[in-house]
Amino acid sequence: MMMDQTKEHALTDIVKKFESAFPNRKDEDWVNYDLDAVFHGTYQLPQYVEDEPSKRDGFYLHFKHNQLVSYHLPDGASLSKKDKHVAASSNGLIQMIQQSAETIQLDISNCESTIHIIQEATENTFACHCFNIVAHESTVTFNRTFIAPKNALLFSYCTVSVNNQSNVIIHDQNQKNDGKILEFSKAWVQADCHFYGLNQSFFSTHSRFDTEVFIEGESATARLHGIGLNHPKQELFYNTHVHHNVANTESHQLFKSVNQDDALFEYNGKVSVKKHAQNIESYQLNQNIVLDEVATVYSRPQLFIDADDVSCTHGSTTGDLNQEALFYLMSRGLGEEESKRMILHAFILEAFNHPQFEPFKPTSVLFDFDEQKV
Amino acid sequence: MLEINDLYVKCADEDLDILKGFSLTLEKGKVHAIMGPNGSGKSTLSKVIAGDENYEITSGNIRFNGEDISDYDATKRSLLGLFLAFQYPVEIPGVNNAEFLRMAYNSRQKHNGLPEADPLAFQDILLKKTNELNIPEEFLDRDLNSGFSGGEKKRNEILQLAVLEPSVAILDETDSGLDIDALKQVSEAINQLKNENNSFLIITHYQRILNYIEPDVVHIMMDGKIVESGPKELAIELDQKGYDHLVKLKS
Repeated sequence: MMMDQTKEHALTDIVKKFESAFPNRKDEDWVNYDLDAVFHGTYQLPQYVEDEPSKRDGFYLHFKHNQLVSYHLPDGASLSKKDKHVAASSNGLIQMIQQSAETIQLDISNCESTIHIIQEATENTFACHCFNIVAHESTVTFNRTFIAPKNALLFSYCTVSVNNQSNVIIHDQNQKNDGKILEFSKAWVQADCHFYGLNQSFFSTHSRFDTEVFIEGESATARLHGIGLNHPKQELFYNTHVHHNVANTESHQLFKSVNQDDALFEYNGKVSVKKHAQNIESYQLNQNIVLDEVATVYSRPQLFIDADDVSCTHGSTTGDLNQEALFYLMSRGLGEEESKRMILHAFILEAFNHPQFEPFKPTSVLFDFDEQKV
Repeated sequence: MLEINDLYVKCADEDLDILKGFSLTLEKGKVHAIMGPNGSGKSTLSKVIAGDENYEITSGNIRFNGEDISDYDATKRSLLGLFLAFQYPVEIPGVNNAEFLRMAYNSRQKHNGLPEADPLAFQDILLKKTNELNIPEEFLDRDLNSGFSGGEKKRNEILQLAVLEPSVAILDETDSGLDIDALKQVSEAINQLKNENNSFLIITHYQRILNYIEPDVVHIMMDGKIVESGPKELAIELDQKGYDHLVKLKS
């Protein structure tokens, strides 16, 4: 459905305000990501909506259009709205999100809980969500669900501050979204704190997730896992950067993807270790399966190390299904299709191989690839 | 039971013959051993029998119980009762060993028109097998060969063999990488599984496994075909004199 010309220009007008500070392709190191194509759409300005009554169980925050429409929080968690204060940033996208949406601050103290975050855009509109999480002496899991229907554009900017022996787990679910999603997360992890990020992007049309983690205190760790499944013509972009700013810290990155005909997957992963940050352990791995000859995968795991006492590894593999494994399973009497699905299943589940991620293991073995020829 | 007739095989993507007129007949209830130097085509033979599509049969055939199986895929061959214990069992993290075994077992049951086992019933079958073969139960909870030592992988192959009860089992260098105790354990397990209705083809470099599993016939394989066959003493002679001696004799 075409919007009228006035509405069609709304987003590009907003974008123009930030044009000078917008990241360009060179800044971002993307090979295949096309920001112009993302903005080139017929999006309406979102309407302001009154607070919606709660229809959900458990603790949650529900963002819709450019605002928080309802919430229910556990003891120890409190909300406040911040003024539209735009921090100096070279990233015009983030500036735009900060200025377009109301910024919510969620303070969490002495809390052990799971909080759902629903980030929703509606059809033919664009939405910006902006929130800061500050955790003290807490272990909190955020189950974040993105909803971006057809011809919607969802921007998200989230900061996480992990302090005083806190553990923060952010589990992103981006499933079967026909719209476009651009998500930026930044996390600062203080001493003896742990940050975990797991992103599941299954069969969504066009998604980009940028995650930057600053490890600021000793004995702090960060773990980022991502698993992307792309049907034909779907596009998924992961951009990660872990900064080891102090000694005795650890980080793990594991990003995997399975891609069908004409799908596009790009991983740009960085690890930076500062000169004085000795005794660092960092592991970074990107593994991709290409199910058809014409899918595109671009993978770039990178290390920038200025310290000398570090143990850092990085690697990347891209290929079709493991033929040796296929033969092995078939030689035990399992059918070819069944064997292929088993190998795929095993490949995907590796992304959940950590005690913090185990609860999020999908139960379906077929992962919706059953409708297509694997 | 298994007949291989004048088999010529090359790599599917290379024009290089690996098996060059290989023939063998494996009778019911018998144990045959194939020995040969590196590069003689032993492992290729085992994979070709099991149905590895990386190899192409250019001439000859493989018959199993009278049926030409040369064009069958690995699944069909397995369901008919062939089993290959791999030299390098593949690690598949994320696939639970017990669940994999149950799927393989049920696949065979279904093919034979027999009832499939639910997880509980299959657990009993598995525990019985692990006890009989002296295999630790913790194998069952682990992912398929993932993180297994070389010896553990070989023992896991034998557990699969015990569960699937094939009529022909090919053991491709099952003895390689095993210390003396592990070799003894694996050999004892194979001896337990041997009966008058099945046959074993043991592929090995060394005579030592044949001290534990007595072969009825020993074949020497060189350059893609059998060059000599004889009783078990042939293996002892080969062990003492080496392949070079044989090469010189042949030339």
